[in-house]
Amino acid sequence: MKKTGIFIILAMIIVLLGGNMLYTVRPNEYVAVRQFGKIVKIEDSPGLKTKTPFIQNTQVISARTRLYDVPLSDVITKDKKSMIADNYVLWKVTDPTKYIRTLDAINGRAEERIEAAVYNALKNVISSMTQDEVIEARGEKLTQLLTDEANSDIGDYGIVILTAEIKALDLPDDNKSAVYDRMISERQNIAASYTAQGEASAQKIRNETDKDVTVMKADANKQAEILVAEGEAEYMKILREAYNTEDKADFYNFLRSLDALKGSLSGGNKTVILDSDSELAKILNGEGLNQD
Amino acid sequence: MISIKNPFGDKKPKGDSQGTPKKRFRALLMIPGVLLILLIMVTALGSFYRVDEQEVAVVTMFGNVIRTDTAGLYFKIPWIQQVHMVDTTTHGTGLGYAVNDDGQEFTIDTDSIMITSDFNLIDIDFYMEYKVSDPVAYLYSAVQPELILKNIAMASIRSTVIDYTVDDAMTTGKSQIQAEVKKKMQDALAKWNVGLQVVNITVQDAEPPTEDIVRAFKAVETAKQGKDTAINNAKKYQSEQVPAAEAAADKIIHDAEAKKASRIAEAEGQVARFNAMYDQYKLNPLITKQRLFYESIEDVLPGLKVIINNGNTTQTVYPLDSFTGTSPANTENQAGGEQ
Repeated sequence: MKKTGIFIILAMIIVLLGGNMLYTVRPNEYVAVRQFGKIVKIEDSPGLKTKTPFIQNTQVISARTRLYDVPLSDVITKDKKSMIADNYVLWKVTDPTKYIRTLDAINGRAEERIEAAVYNALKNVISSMTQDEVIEARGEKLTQLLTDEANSDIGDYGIVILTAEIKALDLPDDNKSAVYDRMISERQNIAASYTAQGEASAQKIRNETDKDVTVMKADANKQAEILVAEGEAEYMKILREAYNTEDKADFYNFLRSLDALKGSLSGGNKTVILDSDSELAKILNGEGLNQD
Repeated sequence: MISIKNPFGDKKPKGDSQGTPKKRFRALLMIPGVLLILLIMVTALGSFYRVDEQEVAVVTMFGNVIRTDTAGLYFKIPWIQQVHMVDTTTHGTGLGYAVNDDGQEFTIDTDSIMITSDFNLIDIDFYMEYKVSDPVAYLYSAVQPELILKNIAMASIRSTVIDYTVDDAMTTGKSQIQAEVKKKMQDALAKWNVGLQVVNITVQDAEPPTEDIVRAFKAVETAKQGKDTAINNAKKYQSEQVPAAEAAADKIIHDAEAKKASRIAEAEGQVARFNAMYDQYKLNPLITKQRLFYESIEDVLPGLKVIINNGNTTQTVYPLDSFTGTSPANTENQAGGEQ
């Protein structure tokens, strides 16, 4: 019985001891081995490791990439325009010893330092650019500038900023309403110009049409006059050719004078005064027409 | 023989009811025995693990990643090896909007309103689909990989949209914006190796930031329509007026041609009549002339007052009535004074 008891106790001691002698390092982790408060070793490769039990203890610091969403900050551009910057930072611990020594490996403290560094860098970079330049320049170059500047402030803490990205550069709210108003009036202008263009083009088409109509009618009238004139000319020609001998011409004149006579004497209320020598008087007096 | 019954019944001595000390020990020993059996069973069960289609298992031993397994049934050394399951299905999330418990979408203005290249503001939402591409990196490379993904997405979106005008971003630029954002995200994700990949990112809505501005944009469309309508109306006017004018012009010319033709016909008619009379005249010129003359006079005399002046003061007036036959004025004339 006693033997079993001792055996059990011994087994328990071994287990306890063994348990405290081994520790695992997971991927992407630093384990700082401290002895009496002092850091004696940093383990950064994954696996099962040994340490002096009880005398040494371990502290785990993650080496993972961390995200810090920096709070919004106001920045002023070179041309005194105010903007609101929203950044995020990817950072990680590179030197756990420093990290423990300077920041006691507290995440929150690291974030404070980072925020200050980024804000500084942001101010410097943005204040050297006009608002137009800022809006045009977004991209790799600006990020690199920002990252480098921010890193220069935090080198002592054992951490490194992988990237300080500008998530958003926004206008302050009162600027926003000004932009909205401008957008509306811009659109109104565009709408008005469309309407005006429509009116102008329509009027032009109408004018063209009216002109064409007038020209068409005028041309037609001109042609009509020509045709009528041709008709007259043809008329004259035909008659002229018909009366082209002297004899014919005389007869024609005779006929025409008879027509003229008829025309002028008909209609009633007409009085004719004849000389007694005249042919007509002679006829009325009973003499025939003897002469031509 | 008289047997005396024990009035209190037969009782066995206490020591005998639970058996000997040896049995007690054995019974005690059974409890840990049962536990041991349970332990063995649990261990045995714990040394098999099943991986579904939509998962990947990452197996670690003493902190080291020793392998990754896709779908199937596997064995691991119990207690020493650990299995971490990673969901490899595609997840989706809205950027610039979210869906609340009732399934209603609501916009997140701070995320969705952004500057465009022409200094305007646009309200633009995206839907992003992503999944784990590298399970080991997903587990160990970064803290909160999904949050990092979201931040990368927001930064990529903003830096892309800012290169487009508000008109382009709302209309023709959408597919290009999607492609650019996806490319930027892929580059960033590859760089930071968080173990996630973006499967697809699409524009959901892209519109002006306020109702008033939406109305103003609509008014532009209406004005565009109005312009087309005005021009069409004018063209309609043109297509009505021009044929009508052509027809009128045509008529004018035709009328003139008719006039010309009839004038010519008139001439020809006249000539024909004249020639007919002339042929007669030629046969008997004097007679014809006389006849014609008499006919003319005949026509006009009835309505005519005739005064014959023979140089004397007296004049003869012929009544207009009839010339044929009676000639009372004749005698009067002779009486009046014949030369």
